Amino acid sequence: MGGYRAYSVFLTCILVYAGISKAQPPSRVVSINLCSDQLLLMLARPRQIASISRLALEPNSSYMSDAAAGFPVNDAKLEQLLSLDPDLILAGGYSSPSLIRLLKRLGYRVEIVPSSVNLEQIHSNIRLVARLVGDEDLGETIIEEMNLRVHQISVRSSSTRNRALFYQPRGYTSGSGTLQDLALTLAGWRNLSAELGVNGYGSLDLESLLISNPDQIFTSAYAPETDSVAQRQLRHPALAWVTGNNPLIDIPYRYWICGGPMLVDAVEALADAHQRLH
Amino acid sequence: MKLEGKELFQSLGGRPILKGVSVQVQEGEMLGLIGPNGAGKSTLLKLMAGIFTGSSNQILLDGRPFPEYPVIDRGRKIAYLGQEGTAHWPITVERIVALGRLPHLGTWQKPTEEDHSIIQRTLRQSGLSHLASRPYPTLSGGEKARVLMARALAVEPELLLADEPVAALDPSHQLEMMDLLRRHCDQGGSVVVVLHDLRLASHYCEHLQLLLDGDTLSVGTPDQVLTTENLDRAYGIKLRSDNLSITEAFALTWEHGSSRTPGVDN
Amino acid sequence: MNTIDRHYQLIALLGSILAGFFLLSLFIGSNPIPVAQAVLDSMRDDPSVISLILTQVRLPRALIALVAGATLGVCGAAMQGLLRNPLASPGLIGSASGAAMGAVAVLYSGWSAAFWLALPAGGIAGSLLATLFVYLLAGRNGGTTTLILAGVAVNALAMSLISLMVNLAPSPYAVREMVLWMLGSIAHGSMADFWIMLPGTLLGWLMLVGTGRALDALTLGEETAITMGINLSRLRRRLFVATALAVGSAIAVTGAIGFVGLVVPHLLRPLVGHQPGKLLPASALGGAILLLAADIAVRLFPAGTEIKVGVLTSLVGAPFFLYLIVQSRRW
Repeated sequence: MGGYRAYSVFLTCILVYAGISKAQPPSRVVSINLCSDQLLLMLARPRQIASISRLALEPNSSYMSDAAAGFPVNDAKLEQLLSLDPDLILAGGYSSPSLIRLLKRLGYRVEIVPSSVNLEQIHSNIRLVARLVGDEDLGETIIEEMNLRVHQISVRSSSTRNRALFYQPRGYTSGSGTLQDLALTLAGWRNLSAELGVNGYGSLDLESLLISNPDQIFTSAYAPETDSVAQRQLRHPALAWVTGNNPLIDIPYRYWICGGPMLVDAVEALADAHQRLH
Repeated sequence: MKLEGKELFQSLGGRPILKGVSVQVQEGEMLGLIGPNGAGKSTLLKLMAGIFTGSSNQILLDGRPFPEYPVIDRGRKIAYLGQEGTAHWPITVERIVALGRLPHLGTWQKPTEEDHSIIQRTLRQSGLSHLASRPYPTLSGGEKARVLMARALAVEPELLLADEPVAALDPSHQLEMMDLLRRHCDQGGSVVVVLHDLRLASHYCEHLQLLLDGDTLSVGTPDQVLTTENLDRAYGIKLRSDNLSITEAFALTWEHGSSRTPGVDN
Repeated sequence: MNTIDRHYQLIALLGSILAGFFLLSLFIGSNPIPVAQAVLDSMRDDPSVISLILTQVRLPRALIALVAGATLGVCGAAMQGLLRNPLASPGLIGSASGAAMGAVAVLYSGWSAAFWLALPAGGIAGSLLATLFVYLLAGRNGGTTTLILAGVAVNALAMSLISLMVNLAPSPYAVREMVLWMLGSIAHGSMADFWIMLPGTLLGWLMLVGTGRALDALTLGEETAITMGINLSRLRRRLFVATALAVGSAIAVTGAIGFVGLVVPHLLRPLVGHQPGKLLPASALGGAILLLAADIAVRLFPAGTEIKVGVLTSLVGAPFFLYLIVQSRRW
């Protein structure tokens, strides 16, 4: 993260001159969604950012919570947004369509950063936000760095693929077409949930989980210090038994609440766990 | 068995109901409690039954004060038949009567042969044998009253307390009910019965106790209690005719006819 | 004499049905497993996956259903006997929703980690509080209407407090667990859950043992029962505490499973000659049977559907409740 900040400062100096010849980049960008917040914080110069959503400050959800400190926050409320006088509004794939329609009708420029579940989509979102804030080179640099780290992981990972799956509170798992599935595969694991036919996020009953006989169970529980019936499910003794008393590994949720370069951090954590198994 | 209560007090909801009533019941005696509504008859009966505990220290059972008896012992010696008695579940007549044996049985004790014969005998004597397996709610009012009386009799108590047992019964059923109480006394038990019918009271009871406003107005034999003066003070009534003596006026002038209620065998 | 024999026959019959359902529930799950092999495997030092499914998934679920069902059944019978009212049950007089409220308060505040019995302790306290509240509202001689109204009021209060706590809970998962507390589920119980519900429920059951005689006496009303040697205030205290202990501990683990305590005693009452004392053991067995059967039925729905066991018991129970109300109007 510090890396991106350093790049950002370095490249800012170079691009100030280059920018003059192009169309003026937006100077009052408001983001109303955690996913667009994080890309904005990575790619834009601080003085371009007028406001980010409140969730961007929350360290369990936001990978960029340190960088987000100090920026004005919004709650995606119309009045609030208007008073910020934005020249670009960034929204996410799940932002309220009625709010977006309304903003567009009022003449604001709204751009949507779609949700992403594979590397290509992540790359295209980085390029999208980089282009919007007028710093395409920084976007490419970040993408290159991501690709390099993923390649390094694949080189060191063992050739035998062990069985793993994600088990979330309430008995949910991540099947094919999810960021967790992508990360597991990149880290050298077999995702049992995808093999069991789970597509997207779906529930997996305990018996089927046990029968699939995983070597490692991962979880990525939101708000780890709290308790609920859903979270108690993760403490079922059979989960530890089936993996030969391998404890559940909790991968921070902020790595994949949104698709972005931080996914590589999760892949590294998963790859480390894979290496420890051998 | 002898029950004696001295200077009994009882308040209900902050209002004094009994204001120092004394009462005495001898072995084999039937004592009738009479008096106008609100005089404290039912309250006195409940005090003797142990339901109210106002001045239970002053009630002596065979010379020992009430609190010295374990409640279960009192349950064996004294049976109570309330004014608004009922059975809350549709259980059979025989099972209700069998509940009379409950105070005699420990928690895990099953009824003995003797208990069963007492239950059967009580059913027979109360004229309920043919109804033994009928559920309570299917009975007529008179039958229900008889079943609850039989339950109290099945306790084989030394003292039976009955609160208006003949209210809402027809003349024939009234006689049957009073006959059952009479027989209990004849067998050596004692009875305290609250009555509104002064003719039944004077006919069946050895002694009457006339209560007025939480206190005893008069106590003694029916002749001693049912005087012109007492009637006027307690009830505000007088005899219509001057040429009828009090004794004649409160004589029970009817009895069981030849066509008896089926099932009752005395 | 033969009525006593018939009672033992009934208990034996219910006992064998219960044993049958218990075994059946070990055989039915989302995946077919060779149960006999699983039993053999579970005796080895290194258990296989199928033995794990048997001993860690199906067994605790069956045990929880058995204990919770028996608790609801026997407590329903005890409450109905005490209040002489066929509509009294843990669900209607507030013990169940109160227990859920207490458990919710403990769980989402994070106190459940304080000590291993914290969760059932919360359930017990909530259950006792709600039951006493209904009792004070309805009075001990309150009729059916007063009792039901007081129960409705306390249930509504408990439910709104649960809703409030669930919404304010720090855990983001809490807000979706309202239904679980309102309807009850035993799908994810582990042996740990079973062990934390066991002490309270066992203690509650033990306290109910021997109260049958007093409940029989209460058939004739409170005053007559007193003259039969029953210490009524002690009985009342004992039943309230026993119900709170048992229902509070069970509901803290399963959520407020509805109508078991209402339906079971009512169905079995004619079979025990309407005697409240004999109804207690029969209702314990009947409650366990009903909840086990409902939990087996839940598993027969296609995998992936999350039908809660309380949905089934309420589906059966609610129409039954209406029927009872219509019946009680005739008396």
